[in-house]
Amino acid sequence: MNIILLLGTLLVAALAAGHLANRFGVPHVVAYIIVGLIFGESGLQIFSGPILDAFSPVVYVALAMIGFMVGGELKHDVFKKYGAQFVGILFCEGLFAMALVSGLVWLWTDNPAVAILLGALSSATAPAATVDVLWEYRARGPLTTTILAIVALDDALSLCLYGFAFAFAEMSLTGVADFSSMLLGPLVEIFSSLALGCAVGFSLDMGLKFMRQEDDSLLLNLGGIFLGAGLAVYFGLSLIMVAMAIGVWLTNSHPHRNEKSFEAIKKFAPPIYTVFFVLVGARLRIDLLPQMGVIGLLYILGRTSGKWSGAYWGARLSSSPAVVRKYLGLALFSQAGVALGLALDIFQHFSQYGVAGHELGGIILNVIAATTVIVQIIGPPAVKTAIKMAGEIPETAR
Amino acid sequence: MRGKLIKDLRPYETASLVTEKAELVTILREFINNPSLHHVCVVNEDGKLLGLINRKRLFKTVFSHHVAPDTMINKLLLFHDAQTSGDIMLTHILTATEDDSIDDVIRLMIEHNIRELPIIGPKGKVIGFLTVLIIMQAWLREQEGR
Repeated sequence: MNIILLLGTLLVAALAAGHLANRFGVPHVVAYIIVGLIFGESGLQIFSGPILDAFSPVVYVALAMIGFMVGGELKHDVFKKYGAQFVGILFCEGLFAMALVSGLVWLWTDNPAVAILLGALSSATAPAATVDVLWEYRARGPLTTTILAIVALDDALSLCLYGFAFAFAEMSLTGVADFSSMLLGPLVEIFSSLALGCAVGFSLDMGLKFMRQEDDSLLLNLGGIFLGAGLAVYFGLSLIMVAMAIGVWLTNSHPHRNEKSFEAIKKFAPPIYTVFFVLVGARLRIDLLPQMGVIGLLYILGRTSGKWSGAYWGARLSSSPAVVRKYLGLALFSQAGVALGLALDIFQHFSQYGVAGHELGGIILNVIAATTVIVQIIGPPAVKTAIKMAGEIPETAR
Repeated sequence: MRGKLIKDLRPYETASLVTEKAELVTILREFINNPSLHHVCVVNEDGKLLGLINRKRLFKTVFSHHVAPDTMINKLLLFHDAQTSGDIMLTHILTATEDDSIDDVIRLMIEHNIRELPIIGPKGKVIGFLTVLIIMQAWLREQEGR
């Protein structure tokens, strides 16, 4: 099958599956993964082998867009207003989840690289599925505000943790053993990525000042993001962190003017994201799931208990209201785009390190894809339970 | 209109002023009591302009749960959590002074797709709003006077 025909088929199938899933209250991302599963390596095998590899640039583009949009959320105004109030909760829920997942997976697999990577990925929360529920029930109150602030900021924390975990895992796989390199390597990579992203963001911001037509702005935005992503790949830096830094620069330098940049990328993104999620499903190996079942269970156990306890202690430290302390953790279970994106990034990157790297990438991708299906299904009802128990669903919306 | 200044177009549209601490209901009443009003000016104690609130922004804030959930979260958070005018005012705003040239202001209004512009006097105080209607009325008078 030629690639254009395959691409058309996948997009139409994903659209139909998405609508079908909607009717049963299942998030779109789950439907896209299932479409990938049907067409991919564990299904009809139409979308497999060299064809999957040919779609690698789509993964880079999707990762760059995800990073850019996450960066766009890191607005100075949000930090100024909510930063001090929510920073404790943010770090506790993210780091507790990472620590528990890493610890449990390390104990079971004795593989520090797999453990730390899965730990870093566990800290991300999917905003869309969470906000959908808050909006559906017109929730209002301190818990709802806290949920919104945390889901806006915690993907950025996840990307930072991922930056460290990625460099650490790479060094452990390539045999660098001394402690100073393990500490210095990730720091150099993260700061270089942020510096490159800021430089590209600054140039993009300068250029956008002269754009009068929307089409020109879209071209320049895409050009800037792709340029940043391409340079990151060329210099061996973190593509997603470079893109995040571009987003942070744009959203803070001229917030009002550059808001259009994020809206333009958002409009452009759906087909890219859809293919991207289908790719995740296509890479999913059903035959490996029984072997990875325990890791998946440990991941879900560590993540949910880490998020819950972290949110509790973070809220306690920051003297948040009782409803936030008690129920916030319940509302942070969903995971989707960022975790899947990073998992696919790991798969593509680590596959170059021979059998061990390929195996590591396979484990991460399979665990994240399979657990995403589960937490995307249990996540939204958990959010509803949290806001209901907190008394933040108005009578009229029940 | 060549060579003319903004002050040649007086009188301007009257500006409605509220403080940073004004509740959303107060702003809503300003709009309801004055149906031709498109913007409310948010000013500090000295009357200096801090920001603007338009009808669309207030509408989105009051009905925040109808704003698409896939909108950027920082925006949703702003609409959801807003309580006073200071929370929702637009701070990156375009203004003009009475000594600016009309041609420059017309270009600015067309380029940014805006239909009224606050005119700022000494110490950043709002004198009034220059609207597209005021400019077109002046243009018509000029044409008819030839």
